[in-house]
Amino acid sequence: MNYRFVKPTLCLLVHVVVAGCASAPPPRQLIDARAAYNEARLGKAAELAPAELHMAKMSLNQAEQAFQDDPESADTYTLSYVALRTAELVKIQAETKAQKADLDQAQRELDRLEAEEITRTRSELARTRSELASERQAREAAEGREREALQKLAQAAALSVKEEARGTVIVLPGSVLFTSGEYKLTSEAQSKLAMIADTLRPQAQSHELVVEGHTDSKGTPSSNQLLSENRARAVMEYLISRGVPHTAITSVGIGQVRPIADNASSEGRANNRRVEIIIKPAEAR
Amino acid sequence: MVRCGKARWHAAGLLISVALAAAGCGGGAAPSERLVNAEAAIRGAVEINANVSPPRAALHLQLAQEQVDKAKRYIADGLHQRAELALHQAQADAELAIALARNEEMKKRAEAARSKVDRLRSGKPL
Repeated sequence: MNYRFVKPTLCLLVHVVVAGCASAPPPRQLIDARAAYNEARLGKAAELAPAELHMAKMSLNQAEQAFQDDPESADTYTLSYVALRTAELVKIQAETKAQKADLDQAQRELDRLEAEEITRTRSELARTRSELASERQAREAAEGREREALQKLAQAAALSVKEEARGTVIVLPGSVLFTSGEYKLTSEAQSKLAMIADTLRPQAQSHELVVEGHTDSKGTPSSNQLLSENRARAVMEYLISRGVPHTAITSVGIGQVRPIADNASSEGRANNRRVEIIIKPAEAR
Repeated sequence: MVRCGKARWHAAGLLISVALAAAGCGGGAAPSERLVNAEAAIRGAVEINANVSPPRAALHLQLAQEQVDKAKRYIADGLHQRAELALHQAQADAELAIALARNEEMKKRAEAARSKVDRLRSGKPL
């Protein structure tokens, strides 16, 4: 055997063993840890979780050091395992921070939208309130004017005007309107009704008008019913002829059934013969 | 033979580190503090439902529990070094499980807030 051959061969052998050791493949966990760390570094973590990313770097460095020291040791395996988990942890923490930022932004947006909504609701409420108030004022003013007009009318035409639950009632004595047993309007009646029509025309815009005919108890109930109907209609038609809109006014005969005075006396009977014009209350809105 | 001399030093270094590793194996006190910490991390993870959702958290929590169980057996057998490594892994898995569960929770809250914003913007259902 040649000594000159043995020595280099031995040397080569030792070299192969040592080189083999140093270049043993890294454990799966270390390869994955490197990849996970790089992913974290290139992702959101650098910006959102720099401190955590640094921890992951330290953990990976420990694993790399252990791998340099002894690729196959339990330390290398465990430190690589921990480095992989730490890199994953950083990625998750960065994601959580991103979600948190999203949540905060959405919350700010919600606060803003709710504040807007409240402001809008408040101003709508204020507007509705002022609208209601001005409507009420206008209605009250109109009612005041109507009452005033009726008072003037009552004075001018010497008529009785009463406020009742069914509305404002103008009472026209029969003796003024018709000759006995007739339903043709006298000329005096026409001049009074012309004044009434002038007063009622504007009110007919917002009030329903009813003309009621009443008689005393002389004669038969059926003839009195017919007479009261005819008289009420005559008054209604005259008012319409003077410009009261026909859609706002109706007439009805009540006959003798609703006396306002004693039918036994002639004075009472005169009071019972009458036509009433009812201005119904404006309908509630 | 300069190159061969260098290799000898390498071999000697290897022998030393192997000897050190062997000495470390099983030596030292039981890693009781690490055990306490790992078990606390597992309890913390369970408290925020990491054992239920998301599935990835449940998986890591299970790994953590298995490592703790293993570590307890090592401690019983006096293999403290091995127990220490297992607990190190358990800790990392439990912490990852906690982060995953927290992330899931945050994701749900953010999604809920975003969809509420979208509803308000489009429908105005107030």
